[in-house]
Amino acid sequence: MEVDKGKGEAEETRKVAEADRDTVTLKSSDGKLFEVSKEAAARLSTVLAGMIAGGSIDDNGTDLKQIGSEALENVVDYCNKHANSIPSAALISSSISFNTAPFKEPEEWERKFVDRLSHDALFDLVEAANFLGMERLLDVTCHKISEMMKGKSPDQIREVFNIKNDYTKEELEEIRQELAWAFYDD
Amino acid sequence: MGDIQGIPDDVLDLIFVLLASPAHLIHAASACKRWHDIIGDPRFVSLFGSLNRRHLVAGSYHNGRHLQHLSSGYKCPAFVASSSSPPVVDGGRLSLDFLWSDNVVDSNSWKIVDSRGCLLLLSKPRYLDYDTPNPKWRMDMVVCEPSTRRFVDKDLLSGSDVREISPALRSPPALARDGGGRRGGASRRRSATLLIGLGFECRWGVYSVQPPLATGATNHIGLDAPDQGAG
Repeated sequence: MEVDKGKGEAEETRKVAEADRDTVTLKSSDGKLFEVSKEAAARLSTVLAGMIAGGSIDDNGTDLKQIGSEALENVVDYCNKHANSIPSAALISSSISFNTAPFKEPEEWERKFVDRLSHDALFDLVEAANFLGMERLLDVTCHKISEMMKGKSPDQIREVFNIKNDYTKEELEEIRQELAWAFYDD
Repeated sequence: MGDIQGIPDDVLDLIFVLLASPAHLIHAASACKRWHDIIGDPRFVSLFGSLNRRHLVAGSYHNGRHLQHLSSGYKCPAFVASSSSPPVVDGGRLSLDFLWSDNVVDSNSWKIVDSRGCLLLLSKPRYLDYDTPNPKWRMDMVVCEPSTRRFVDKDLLSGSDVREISPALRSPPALARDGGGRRGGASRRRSATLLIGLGFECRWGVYSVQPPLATGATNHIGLDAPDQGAG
């Protein structure tokens, strides 16, 4: 009885400790662990907010099998930077939905954050942001990619993004003729 | 991993919407077929149009009389580029001068009377028979697509398209809505890219050019000339 009671208390204490923790541990597909502020994670990611509210956060590392360690590190980095740089009220109004609000330009620090990423890391981060329901991070990364496309010819776009040209010569020529007005600058 | 083609379609939507300019969009659509299909999807076109509206007015077509206060040089219908900077579209691409230089239309009395999709309908009334009690006049008509500089003039339209109309029926001819006739050189099957081509919107008699709000209606260039009525 005594022992059982002690065990129960210990269990109770552990649960309280878990609830009181202000970070969550996330585990990448390749098994690396990252800690992120629970408040920031819940605020920036609808998926993590749901997991935290639903109690499906694992103290030993919540498995995010779809996200590699480099992308997860960037996600966590973004959450931490966001928590430090913007008061939460401003954040809420800056989070946008494409169906209801116009796009809000990235902040200076967000620009710097995505500018330092390699292309591969950027594309992985877009997918991670999408998977985790991180609307603002998705906007910022998509904005970066669209900036990389702007003002480039189709050939240059293919080169930058490493895209295989699956058009025939005739098909491309047809597009060029039909839409000649769009090709005046090259 | 780390491949842009791994990004799902709905996220590419967000990226392409942010391109803002129709020319950028068309360049992206020309990169590969997958992107072409995403960008050519009518759902995407309407999303792009609704979110980028302020970027999209390239300019307007005016009939000559609206332009006299702008410049005495304008006598025929003409394209006037919007003052947005940088311009949405090079204004020279939308000029109607190909109609004048090929002698398709010959005088100042031509007017733009309707538009549908990428097409403009120009017409000029002409009296055939002044001396009868009930004078007949006919509409000379040209359907043109300024962005590709193609046109179908009255000789190419079948006989029933250009009718003699009694002057009592002064309602101008109009391009058929969807489902209208498919005639002439401009009606051939188009690639989906044309969905993001130029569209014209008529307001107060001025035809604003708003890429890329054009719809599949570009395939139809039938004419709804008013029926010959009594009187």
